Amino acid sequence: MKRKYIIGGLLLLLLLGGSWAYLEFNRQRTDSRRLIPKFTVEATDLLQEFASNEKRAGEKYAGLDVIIAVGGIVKDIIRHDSGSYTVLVGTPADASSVRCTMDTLYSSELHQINPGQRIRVKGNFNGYKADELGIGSDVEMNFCVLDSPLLKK
Amino acid sequence: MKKKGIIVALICLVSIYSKAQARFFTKNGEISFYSKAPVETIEAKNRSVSCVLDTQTGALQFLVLMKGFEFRKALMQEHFNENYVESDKFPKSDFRGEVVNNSEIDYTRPGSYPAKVKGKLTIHGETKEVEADGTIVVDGGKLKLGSVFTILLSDYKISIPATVRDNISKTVQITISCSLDSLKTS
Repeated sequence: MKRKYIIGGLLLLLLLGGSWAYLEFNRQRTDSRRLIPKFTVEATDLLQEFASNEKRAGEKYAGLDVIIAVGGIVKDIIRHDSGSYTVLVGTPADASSVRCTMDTLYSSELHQINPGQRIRVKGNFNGYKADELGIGSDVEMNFCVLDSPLLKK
Repeated sequence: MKKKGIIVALICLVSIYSKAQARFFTKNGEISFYSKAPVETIEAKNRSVSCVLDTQTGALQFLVLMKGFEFRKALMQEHFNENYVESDKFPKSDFRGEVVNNSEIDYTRPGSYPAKVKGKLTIHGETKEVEADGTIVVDGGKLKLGSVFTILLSDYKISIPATVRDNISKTVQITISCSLDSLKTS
């Protein structure tokens, strides 16, 4: 009798463990809308942070899945051949930008914004590219969505 | 004398104009990699690749942030960044090289040209000489670059834990697709 319970318990543990492993292995990304930014910053300030001390800024934003919210002026909205979009945020006259590759699930929201408009975008911080190639420096983000308080205006 | 001066000025203007057209670039290039192993296929894509090509010298450069690679599965993306490429320690990968047969490509005539590229590829802090074949398509003032090649993960000191060895192949296929615009110098 006791042996039955032990075997049953072990099988249950195996089942639970196996289920957890399967779910974890196949886990999809968290919906970008539900992510809470660790930092909220103006695009111009973020670019300046990296331009003035890249190492220190890199340490501040280090880690996996660091979510940031960035405010600023829309410089351009680029549509890629694949159907995805990148929104450039920053100072229109400046070669540097915060490049926000939008979450494809929410591309339809982009019809609400135009170049020259002020927006706030949140997404994954991917890093900073200094101007190594002579084409301007940029901060890059992906899985971006428009930050919902802005949409209500 | 006046005519000579006008001719010299025109020659200077043409050479300045053609020099201005020599560099092409993008910040929206795509690089994807593909790994097929017994247990599963792993694919990821980066849609923010920077690329510059100097059509006069054939100098070619790519720059990519490793955290920009997007995976279907969150766990795979975490392992890629934390364990394999250690993206906090080595945030970028780059290629600096040249189009070896640059003189055979007519950048003023629309068409598709085979290209041989050679240079230094740096991933995970390790630099290796690589060669790859690709194509350069000249079309309406744009250049479209494409190439497919494979790399050995061990060449870049990317080690695969024994627990996931069946999930990940030792070689990875890399596909590059970039559409370049002329870099206008002011």
